[in-house]
Amino acid sequence: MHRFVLEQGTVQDLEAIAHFVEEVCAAHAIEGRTIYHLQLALDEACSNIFLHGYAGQSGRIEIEATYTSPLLTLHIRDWGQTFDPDDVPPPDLTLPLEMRPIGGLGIHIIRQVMDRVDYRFDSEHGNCLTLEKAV
Amino acid sequence: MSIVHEQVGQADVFRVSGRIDSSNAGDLENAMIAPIQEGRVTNLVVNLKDVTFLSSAALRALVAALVRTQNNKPAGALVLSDVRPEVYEVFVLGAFTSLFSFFTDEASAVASFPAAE
Repeated sequence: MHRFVLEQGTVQDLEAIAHFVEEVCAAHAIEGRTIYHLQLALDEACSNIFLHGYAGQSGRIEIEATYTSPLLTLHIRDWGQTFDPDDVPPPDLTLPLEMRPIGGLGIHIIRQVMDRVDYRFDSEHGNCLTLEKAV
Repeated sequence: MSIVHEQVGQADVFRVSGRIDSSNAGDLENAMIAPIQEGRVTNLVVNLKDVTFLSSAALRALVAALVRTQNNKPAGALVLSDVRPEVYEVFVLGAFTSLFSFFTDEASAVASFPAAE
């Protein structure tokens, strides 16, 4: 299991989070496009936490990565405002440019590059987003 | 991320390198929009050759600049060049490919704008 914890994380830490994904992938010989997909999904998830969950303030975030062939599982935990991706409607990609809503695009991308997206909340453990992909 | 802005022929070229994510997409948007607002720039080429990673935050910044150029009078345009396959895929995932013209190299992108009369 690989673990990455930020006590006072902000969007400035997204590059370090991308490096964490690289390390995890290197440890399990995960290569090519899959690395980019995992980085993209985690970037979008953490961006939502920093910008919306913590409303632009810094906050604690814990990322755990486990690999059990063929599944790479990411658990992302935070204590910001609760956020259930199931509450986000898929963006209407047929709408004209000016009418497209700003939100929802990140979640839409995560759902396409990952095989499973699961969200849980409890008062003790905060928000836990699980992202899983067969690699 | 770093941005180099240079006027080339009828276009203003923005050569971007590094990562574009939620921490810096706003900087890219401001760099592109300021000269459009001042009326100095109408046709933009964004060269993404050295961009190694971009997220949906970058898509939103590019769309914001695209809308500004299209709302100019006379209307301008924003086109992209030198997009790596893994970066192009993010445009596909966001269903944004139809919004932009993609050119394989910067010179072709610049040449897509008509010469001044």
